[in-house]
Amino acid sequence: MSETTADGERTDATDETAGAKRGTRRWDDSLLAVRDLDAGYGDLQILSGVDLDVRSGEYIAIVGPNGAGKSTVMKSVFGLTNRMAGTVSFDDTDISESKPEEIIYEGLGYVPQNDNVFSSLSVQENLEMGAYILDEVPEGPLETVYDRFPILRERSGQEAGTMSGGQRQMLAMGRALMLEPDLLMLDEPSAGLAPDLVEDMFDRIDRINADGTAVLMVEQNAKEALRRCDRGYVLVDGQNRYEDSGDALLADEQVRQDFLGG
Amino acid sequence: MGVSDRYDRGRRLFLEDPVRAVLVVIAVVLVLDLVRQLAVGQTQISEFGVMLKDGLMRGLFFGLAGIGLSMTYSILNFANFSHGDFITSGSFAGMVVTYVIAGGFGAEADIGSLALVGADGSVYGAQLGIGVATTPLAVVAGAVVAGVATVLLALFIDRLVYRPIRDRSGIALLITSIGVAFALRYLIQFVFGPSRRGVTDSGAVPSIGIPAVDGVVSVNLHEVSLLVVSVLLMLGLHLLLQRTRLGKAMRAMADNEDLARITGIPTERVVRFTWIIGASLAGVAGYMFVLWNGTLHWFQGWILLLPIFAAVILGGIGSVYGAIVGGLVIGLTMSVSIVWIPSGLARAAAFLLMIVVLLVRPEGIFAGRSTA
Repeated sequence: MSETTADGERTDATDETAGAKRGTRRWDDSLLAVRDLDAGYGDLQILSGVDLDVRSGEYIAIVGPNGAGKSTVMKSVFGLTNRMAGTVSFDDTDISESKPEEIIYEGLGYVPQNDNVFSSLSVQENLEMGAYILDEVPEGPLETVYDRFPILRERSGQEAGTMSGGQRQMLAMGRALMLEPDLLMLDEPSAGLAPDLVEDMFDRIDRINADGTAVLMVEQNAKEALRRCDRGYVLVDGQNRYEDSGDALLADEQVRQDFLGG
Repeated sequence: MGVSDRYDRGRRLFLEDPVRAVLVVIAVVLVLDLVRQLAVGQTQISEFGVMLKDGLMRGLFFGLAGIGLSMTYSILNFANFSHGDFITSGSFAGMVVTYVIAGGFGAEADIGSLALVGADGSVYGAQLGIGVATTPLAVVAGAVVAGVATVLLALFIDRLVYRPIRDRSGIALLITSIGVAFALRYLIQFVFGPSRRGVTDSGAVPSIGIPAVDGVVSVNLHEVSLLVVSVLLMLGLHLLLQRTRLGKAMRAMADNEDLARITGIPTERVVRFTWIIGASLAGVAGYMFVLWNGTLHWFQGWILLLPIFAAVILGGIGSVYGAIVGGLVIGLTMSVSIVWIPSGLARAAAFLLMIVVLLVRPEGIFAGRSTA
């Protein structure tokens, strides 16, 4: 595979972790920049020295085996883990020490994998809670979310807990989009969906990204995620292993064999 | 649907769910027996009317007081055993104000005795003519102060005791709350004395008789007051929870605290409002109950906490509407059960009913609908 040139300035190109083919690139014009991050739960360290960049409007996928710490990266960005070392900055603001309820003000939206809707609240109320930090429910974004996911408009009065898995996932995304974030973080958006809905979900994410929102996605469905993203990160044992364009990763023999099942 | 169809369905119910079937049979037998008793005059219809009225009063109180207990459970994640003593605290605080105002700020009795709600029998409510009709200002001021004082007390205790251990387990918080309950109860006993006192002038409460078939059911103004205050407060709370941004945030936090935090809901603020709402309802409920009941004593709330817990669990702990429905069921059971059993067993009947309901619906009537 040929050496690709980064769009931004290349500041670090060495990573000597076993089996790594190339260093993880770093940019200095990133929207989200994670640098040398060590993080975990309590005293248990999961991530060590993780680097991650998302530039404005980019579509990034994090893939890797179970237990690699993919979700932990996202939780750490959102202040839900114990961050031990390294920095996280968003839009040139250091958020390494910020709490989740502060990070929401920075323009970062996050959809956790499980329990990502308020199940006893109605669809409309869930969306209203998405914009809780504003004094009033913003009409524009609410309309945009309803246009993006027409089923939510149809069911605006329904209790969220009574909806199907796919509808709940749309509601969770809609909730996170209410503040029109610059970056939307999705933790396993296809998990638990019926196979015929997975494709549809990825199409919707493509459109959200095409409309200008940067997307950072953790996916179990690695091939599909890499096919659609701009760049992908392969995470193993809490460390960066590969980073490249999605197509390049898909084409890489080593990556295919080790992580994509041939 | 034919008779044989229905017979089939009945047989299937018996085979598939014998517990439920037996309960249905018992309920039918009890209702038929009630009809028989009323028909032959063993229980008079007016007598039964009085039982329903008393049960309703008690039930409204249990419901109103139970709301706070249920909200603390769903939003702060612990069973607050000091809730009963919040009720006592509110009742005493309110009655202090009522006594002082009704006593003309020392004109009709020693101001010290008034401020201690007639500790050791120094002054009685009847002497001061306390009642909604006779001393309306003193009663309204008392009810308001009961709510406000309980809120201040709850916020003070939260800051001092619960907030530092907010992220500990529910069990640690529960045990702490038992300690708080003891401290409050004996502080009240130390200040106001151990006597049980009559605090109203029951002779001066106007009442009207509603004719029932074989007699009269009398309804007095304190009963009407309890009814009106309870219904208004419950309605207000309903509107708050369903219509306002704060109320929705409370429901959201009760539903899923982690998600509430990542949507930017200020959780400490929601906790503060939970205490404010729960404590004010407990204080006002306690005061209205004392006004209705006519007596006040230092372990009142502790005694009432048990049926309140039963009501909240029966309704589905964590649900505000469950607390109201559970309160009514427990209150009505306590007073109506004496149609069939000796009155000494009325409380036991209420708890038995709770157990029975939990057998059929283990999570309570409003199962899994946290606060919504």
